[in-house]
Amino acid sequence: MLLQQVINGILTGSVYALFALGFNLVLGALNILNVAQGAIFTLSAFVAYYLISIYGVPFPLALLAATVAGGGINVLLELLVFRPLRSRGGSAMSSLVASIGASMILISVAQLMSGAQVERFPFGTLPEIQWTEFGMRISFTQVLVLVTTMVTMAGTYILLNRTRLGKAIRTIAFDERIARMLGIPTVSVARWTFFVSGALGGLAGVLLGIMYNSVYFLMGEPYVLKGFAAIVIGGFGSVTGVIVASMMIGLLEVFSTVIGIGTFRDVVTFGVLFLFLLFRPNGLFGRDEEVRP
Amino acid sequence: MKKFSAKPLAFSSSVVLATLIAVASTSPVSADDIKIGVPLSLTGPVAFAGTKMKDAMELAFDEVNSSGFLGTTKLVPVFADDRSNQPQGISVTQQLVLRDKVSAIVGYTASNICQASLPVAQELKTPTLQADCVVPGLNKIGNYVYSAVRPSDVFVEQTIDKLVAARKIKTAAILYQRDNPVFVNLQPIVAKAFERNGVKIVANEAVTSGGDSDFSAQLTSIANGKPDVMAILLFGGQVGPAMVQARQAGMKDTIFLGEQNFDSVEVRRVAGPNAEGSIFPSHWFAASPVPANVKFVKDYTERFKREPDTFSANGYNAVWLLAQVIKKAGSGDREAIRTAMETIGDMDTVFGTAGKTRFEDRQVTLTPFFFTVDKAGKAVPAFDKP
Amino acid sequence: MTFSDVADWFQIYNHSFATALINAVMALSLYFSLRAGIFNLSAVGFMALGAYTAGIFAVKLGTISIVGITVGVLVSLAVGSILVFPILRLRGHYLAIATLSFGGIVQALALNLDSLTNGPAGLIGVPVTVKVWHLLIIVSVLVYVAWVLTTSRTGRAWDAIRTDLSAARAMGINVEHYRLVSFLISTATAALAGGLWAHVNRVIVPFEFGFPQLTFVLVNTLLGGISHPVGPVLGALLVSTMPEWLDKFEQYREMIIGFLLVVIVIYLPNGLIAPFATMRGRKFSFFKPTQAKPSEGES
Repeated sequence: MLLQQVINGILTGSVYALFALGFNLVLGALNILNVAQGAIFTLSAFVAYYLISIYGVPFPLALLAATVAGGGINVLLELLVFRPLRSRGGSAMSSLVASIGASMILISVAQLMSGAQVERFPFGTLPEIQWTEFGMRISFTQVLVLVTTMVTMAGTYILLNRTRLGKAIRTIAFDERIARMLGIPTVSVARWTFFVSGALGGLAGVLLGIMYNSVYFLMGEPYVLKGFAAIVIGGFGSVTGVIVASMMIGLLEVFSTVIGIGTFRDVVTFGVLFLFLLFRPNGLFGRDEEVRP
Repeated sequence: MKKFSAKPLAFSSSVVLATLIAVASTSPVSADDIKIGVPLSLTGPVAFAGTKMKDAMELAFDEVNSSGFLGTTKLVPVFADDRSNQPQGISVTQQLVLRDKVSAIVGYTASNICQASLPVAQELKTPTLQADCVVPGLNKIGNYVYSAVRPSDVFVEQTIDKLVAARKIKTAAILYQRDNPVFVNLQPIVAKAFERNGVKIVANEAVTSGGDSDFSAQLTSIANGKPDVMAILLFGGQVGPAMVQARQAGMKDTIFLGEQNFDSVEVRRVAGPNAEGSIFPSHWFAASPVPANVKFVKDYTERFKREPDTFSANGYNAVWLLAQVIKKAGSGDREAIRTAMETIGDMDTVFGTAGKTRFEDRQVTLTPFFFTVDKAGKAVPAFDKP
Repeated sequence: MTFSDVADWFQIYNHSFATALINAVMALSLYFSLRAGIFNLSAVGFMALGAYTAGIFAVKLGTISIVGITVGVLVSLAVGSILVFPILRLRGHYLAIATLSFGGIVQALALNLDSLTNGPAGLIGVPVTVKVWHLLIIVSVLVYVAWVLTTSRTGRAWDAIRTDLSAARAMGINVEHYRLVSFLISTATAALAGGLWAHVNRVIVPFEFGFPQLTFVLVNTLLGGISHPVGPVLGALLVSTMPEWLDKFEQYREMIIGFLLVVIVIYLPNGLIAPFATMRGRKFSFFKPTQAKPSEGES
């Protein structure tokens, strides 16, 4: 059973990781804490759900479309909200407040669209195969989620470290003025950053929806706070850190249930987050930047 | 007398004002019409329930008025939205009583809003029939406050007694919602009912948020105890995902036990074949043969092109109960209505197996149905006599 | 309008007034933090602490309301004094997340410490002792205090810190001291709002002190604007009565509030009060550091 719980924790953690990675990308590069990531997560899951259940689109295609939709919505937010804000010299805090507003609008859309009903991907969307080995059960869906997450995380790592776009993003994250001086087209790089971030959120939403059989307008809400925890514990802007931290949080939650303090799950997660902020605000893998005034 | 007394002035001007209001608003409201306040959660997190109640309540008011049930008197509903928010619930209660001068109130959606607003109605001496709140203790608030629904704890206890008697049940587990008063109240009652029947509780796990859909950790712990039956005390939207995940976690033959929220289109759609064999009590179901209910389901389906659910039934039923009380009272006088509530005796209802109900301890008495979900996903009577 | 019309009107809307005024107290709590440039999102957490303390004292110990409310403020100040040191060492998003997660912890504890808080079922039977005129006095006093503080040496220090923390420090301002003062006043005000809330609303459930409450307070404060203490009060009163005008759009309420938030921060960063508020002739800016113009003299 313990092994099964470890798997549960890793699966939960990998969805957190995808979600938090997108969160962290925009935060690290553009210093925007985009709370609307949770709403993008939800809307993308709905996009995939409607494509599959109404238009009979095969799952891989729907997953791709929802991922692109997630990126698209985020780019739209960049154009309509964050770009005007930036050009008017808004502070980091005003962008946080604006993203709270944007998030409320998008969640309302999901609520009106779905009539606040819980939906489920049709049975048989994915083959219902289950393996039972060493007293553990692993389903095809779970393997798919795990593989997709791994591939995506590796892809993000490569994107950030081995491509021109990645270098540009990292340069902007280091200092936007220097990036501009180096001739990096900061506006379009910012847009791409938003796209990748939204796409990661969208992917996470679909995977969560299919793994736990639930697509619901409030599904993104718990993930925003878990995302905060993951980026703080992992360290702002660090890919490895966020992945490790997400797995830690997934396992932490699962094991608070195992040892019988499941009702205090949220207290435990927030508590750890809080302790990190107080004693190690740069997180596990954070850049050694100044976090203090 | 030096001191100016405001009292006669206040009195005379309030008479003038009352006349003015009466004159100004004669067009829709005739002399013997009776205004009824209807506070509901029409926006916010509980709106999914409140809006369904509103549809059915409009239907019920129309039926009362067009059928001439109260002679020439008509009931005029004044709807108000509490936005699923407690302070707003208190505010609209005050406004309905003091501004709109309603004769009685029927409605409310969420438990905490009931807890906060019903004492206000009591203090303002306005007879109130709450339609949807099932936390215990609401019938203790005072002699103006009545409940048209009742906590489902007794029904669930009866279900467990019957289940253990009918099947070989040795072990049980509970999965419950930690942030909702109804389920937190139900959880120890369910545990006790199992223990009283000699069933061992192998796991008792909590879900901490209504937004959660990942129950893997809890269900792995529960599956490890191999329970014969698992009580699922979660929000309607979580029941379906929990059933599917439980089967995936290896509980192939475990019987799911729950309360009336098992019976919804949403649960049927999400859980699909995984719900087969589930057992639950309900004070109402759409196919109930009670005459009042047959009419309700037919009228509702015709008007809204969809099947009514429990929330619609709760709203519809409460309006009709109040109409019967007002008929007995014979007027829109608040005291007369309160007295009628005390003395009314049997009333027709869409709930229960008998189609009749009474107020006992200021809440309705009911006999529930017991259901099981068959292969096709339909709720059919459970525990049929062999 | 006769005397009794007004009396009736007050009676009918008395709870709506009370709610609007409590929202104003919350908005002022946020004002005290924002004024010093601290993006403190813990106000709702401290509000819950104040409400529960007041509720527990009233229901379980049967003390008179003022005792519970006062103890609530003191408890919050005590908790705040412990938290303030680590929290104020953080900056920007770190501070926002830390204070937000404090609110999360308080809510989760309220949900789980059943013996104290009665869990999700709520603390029932808190006596309704706070009246509208109490609240009017409290809001007036708070606005006055805020005005005095803002125009004093403290307020000037807050403005300097908000505009540029390092510059403020370089100017010899005791940054730590003034930020601490701001945080603690904000904490006490939030706890006071919570205590008052409890004695107006009868039942205390954890559910009322979550993220929606926080966004509501943010909208109130930012819509009104923090360039003058009247701003947040104005915002709270406007937003609290707004839904009455917007009844036709009830299902779009969340969307409207979200839209308002976006529009305010982009196009109205200093709130509705900004055009009217030139305190002591100084130009004010919250989100955007003021460009120092040579023509502008230092007051």
